[in-house]
Amino acid sequence: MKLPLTLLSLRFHLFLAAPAGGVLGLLACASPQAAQAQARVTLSGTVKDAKTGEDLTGASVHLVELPGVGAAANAYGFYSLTVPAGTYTVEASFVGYQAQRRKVTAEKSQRFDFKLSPGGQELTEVVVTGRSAQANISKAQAGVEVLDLKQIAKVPVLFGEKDVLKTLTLLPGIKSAGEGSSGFTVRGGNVDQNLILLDEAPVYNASHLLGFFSTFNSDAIRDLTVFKGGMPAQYGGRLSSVVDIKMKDGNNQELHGSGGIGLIASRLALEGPIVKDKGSFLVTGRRTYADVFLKLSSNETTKSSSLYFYDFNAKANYTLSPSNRLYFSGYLGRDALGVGNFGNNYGNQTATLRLNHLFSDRLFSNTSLIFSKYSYQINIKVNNQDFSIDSDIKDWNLKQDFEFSPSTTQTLRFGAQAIYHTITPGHVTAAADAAVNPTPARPNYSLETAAYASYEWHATESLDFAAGLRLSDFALLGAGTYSTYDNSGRVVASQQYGSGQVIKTYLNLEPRFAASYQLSAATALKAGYARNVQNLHLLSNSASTSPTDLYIPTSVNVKPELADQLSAGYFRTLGAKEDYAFSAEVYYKWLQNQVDYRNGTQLQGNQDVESTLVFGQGRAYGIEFLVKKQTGRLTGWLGYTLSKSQRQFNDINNGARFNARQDRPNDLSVVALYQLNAKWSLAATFVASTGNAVTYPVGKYLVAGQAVPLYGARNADRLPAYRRLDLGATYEKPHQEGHRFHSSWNFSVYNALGRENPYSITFQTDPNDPTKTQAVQTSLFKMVPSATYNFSF
Amino acid sequence: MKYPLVLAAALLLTASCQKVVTLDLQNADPQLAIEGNLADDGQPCTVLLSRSVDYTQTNTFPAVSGATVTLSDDAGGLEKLAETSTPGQYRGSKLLGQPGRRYTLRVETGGQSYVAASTLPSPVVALTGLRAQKSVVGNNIQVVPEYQDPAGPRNYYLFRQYRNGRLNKNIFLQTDEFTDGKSNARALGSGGGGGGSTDDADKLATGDSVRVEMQNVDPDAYEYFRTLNQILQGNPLFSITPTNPKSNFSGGVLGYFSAHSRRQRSLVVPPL
Repeated sequence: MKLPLTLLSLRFHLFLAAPAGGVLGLLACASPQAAQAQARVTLSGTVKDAKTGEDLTGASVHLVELPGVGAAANAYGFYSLTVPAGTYTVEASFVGYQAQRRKVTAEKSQRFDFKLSPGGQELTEVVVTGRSAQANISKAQAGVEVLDLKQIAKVPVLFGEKDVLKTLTLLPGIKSAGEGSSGFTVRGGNVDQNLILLDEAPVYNASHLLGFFSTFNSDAIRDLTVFKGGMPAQYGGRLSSVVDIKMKDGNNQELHGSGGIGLIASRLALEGPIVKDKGSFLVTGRRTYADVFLKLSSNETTKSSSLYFYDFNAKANYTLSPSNRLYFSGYLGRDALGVGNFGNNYGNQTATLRLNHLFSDRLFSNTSLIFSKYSYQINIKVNNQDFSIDSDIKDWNLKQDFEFSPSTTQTLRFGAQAIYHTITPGHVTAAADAAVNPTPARPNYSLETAAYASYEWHATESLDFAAGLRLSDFALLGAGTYSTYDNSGRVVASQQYGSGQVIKTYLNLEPRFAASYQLSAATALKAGYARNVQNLHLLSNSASTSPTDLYIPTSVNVKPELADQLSAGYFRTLGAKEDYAFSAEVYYKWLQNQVDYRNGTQLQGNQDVESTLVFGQGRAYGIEFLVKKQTGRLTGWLGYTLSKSQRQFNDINNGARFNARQDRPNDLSVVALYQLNAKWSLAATFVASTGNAVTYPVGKYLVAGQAVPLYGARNADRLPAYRRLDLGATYEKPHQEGHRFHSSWNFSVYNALGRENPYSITFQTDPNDPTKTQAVQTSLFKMVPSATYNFSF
Repeated sequence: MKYPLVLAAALLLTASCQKVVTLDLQNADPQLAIEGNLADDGQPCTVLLSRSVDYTQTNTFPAVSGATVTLSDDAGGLEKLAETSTPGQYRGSKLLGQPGRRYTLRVETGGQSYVAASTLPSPVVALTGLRAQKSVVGNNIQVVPEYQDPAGPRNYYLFRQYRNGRLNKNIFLQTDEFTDGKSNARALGSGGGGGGSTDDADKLATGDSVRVEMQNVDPDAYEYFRTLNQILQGNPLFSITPTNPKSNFSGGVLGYFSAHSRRQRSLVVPPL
């Protein structure tokens, strides 16, 4: 535990030393302001959308008379600004909204709520970033991106089903796990190393239909924030990233509905006030109907198959009193796949109950009780005897967060969290006369607790710090039987533990640190360090995410995964209206206690899966460039990443370091949105990257009368390069005065060039000539056109 | 257990396309492959030695002649296998496979020696019957080997299937991991749906004569074939990182040695 602290202080010193002695000087004169014996008052309140009542997270509230003094509204739209008593002009602003100024004579603390009206820019303008680029310059954190749903709606996607997770992969450093997949990797990490939160509830399998759709219905989502590194201390539990998805609160002014009819799915959403200005609700639903098309097939098997998913989101909030607000959000999604006598259904359920409470105008509190469950069931009928395989992960999560704003230049956040996990790997339920035997459910119990504190300090006009510390503990609890293994996976000792007994605990300290230095109003340098700990590990034997992927907790044999990331970046905006934003970020990540399994392991139904695990380390590094055009008819971005991601396990690849599967050194994405006129807008995305690291044969030999591929070093080869162009066009029916009904058509073509991008390459004996072998490339989705009709009222 | 998924993937595959591609593959030095079999059918042990070739070459594998191949058992038996008129093929004469006995095969060639041991399972589980049925998925005909799994120890079974005398290249495996003590109801090739074969010549039809060979194998041999199947029957949508099968030979060589039982039954596919 000594090392991380040393590292942290080392970073402090390094940073302070870097921008020459001047910084120290600035630090020294930072405090006198606070020492003035003037009365201090606190202005606090909320910033909301005037039309819908939605919280405007990230909206800026500042004083015109005191440049550089301001606050940003938090995730609940709340801000707090402590200033010397006086007369001020308070301005609230947010990208895409008309700024609002109000005069205030602040002699004592008071509440000031803002309601901002959308607009304020020419109609032809499309804003790409949810936050002002300025925020990227002035905040200490690097590696953060925000996607606003309104703004990504026009980005063309597969089957026309807008999808936050897929749009996310168009940002530098974030890569899709595979063609059409909603799985993704961040800065060389693994697919399971992303903490995906839906209104604070962790979502374990964020995909529908084999990963081709994410579980997130974009109708229900307000925005998404991704932290690629340097996560603030209130987040923890995964190594690579945090994807924080916030659901809309629902319109608290009047009842509205919206929906869409697409190629393979339809959506409907309803939102409105519970009590005007006090509370609102939102309900959304979505269902695919691919199975309707299956019925049209001439193939009997296809005809009798089922293949669909549905999901519901619901949210309600109510302002109990000026200092208390209650939220409930829930999600229920289910996939059903069935062919003949086989059936598989799986899905997530989450529920979040939250209470916002203001202890004072400077101390904001949020208490959350969260339930999250992922489960799958497989039903098989053999000789008219049914049996089923069930598995689930259940979390009960209690979380307390505080946000304290002692002055305009400081924010202190602290809190604690406890998650009780119950993970039940697949087990068979069968009648005595069934073809298979039942296997007992063997749940794993564990308690993950954490306490954190973080401190943000706007030290001077140009210097910002954010330092945080997270103390996390993982306790494996009984009842259960746990074994230890030798190097070849044989059981050395086995011990049974009673219910509630603490079997093993792991305590970890996770320091986080970020600093930024503004060279000018438009330019900033940033640096950060973060350690992250992960105690749930995904074992997957497929390239794409699969509903039957196995999660295992940290245990007697499996240690917590650790990641240390150092990052630095250069940020710049150009143009009078911040028309362009440029950033370049470098990172280096050390990964420890990585989990993989021995070659050839049978994961499914394995009663002793820990015996097959091997542990190693990894490293990932790279540089990411992002150029955004934020104003004008043409908006969009260009992202390019040059990176490397490698792993090293003593028991894999003869101990030699190998490329991670997701290692794709070159990765380019271009997103362009063009507003042609008031009715039509056009969109295009282009993606190009090196192929995944894969293992090709280095020869073949004869066994069992067949030519068997001979494999050499792991992931020593590459799939051919990937390139894809998607096109989209949106037609918005001119809005009729006095009518509430709006409608639009969205047309898109996925893979418009019809390029056969390799999804995988398999090796086989030539069916036409048994004396030869061949490589066969499988490609998915060669040009998929789609049309979606959207409406709102 | 991810069968439904594989099936759904198969549906998706109909929307995908496949093509043969030419790749620039790396080439490893030729490596020795050993295939040793000893059954309880009264036939002596046979061993095939060959070398690997580049992946892009034709399927002609150079035989390895002049090796010293010896077989011993845990009852003191020992014999040297003689090379037959077919180069690279070695054959014993007096040691025969008996249930419960453990056999050790030793191959010496090129100054290296490779050793593998295999136990012929005991008691041998008999193949008591054979029936044909429509596959659960698709419109294929499958064969169900009937046998009564003994309760208790883990058992491992390997099946080969012949249609009108022609060998189906698929190696069908079953264990009693979830079916201990049950009479078997699983068809050959129920794994991926259909007949488990992409080769039309293996497709069963009414009137076909089908012969099934059942082997009781030991855990190491089963593990070898299971991991061999992973790379031979890889689903393009669920490609795992391919690795060479787990050989039971020491010394880092390709291939396996299996002492196993051998029982056969035939049937003529009735109208279904």
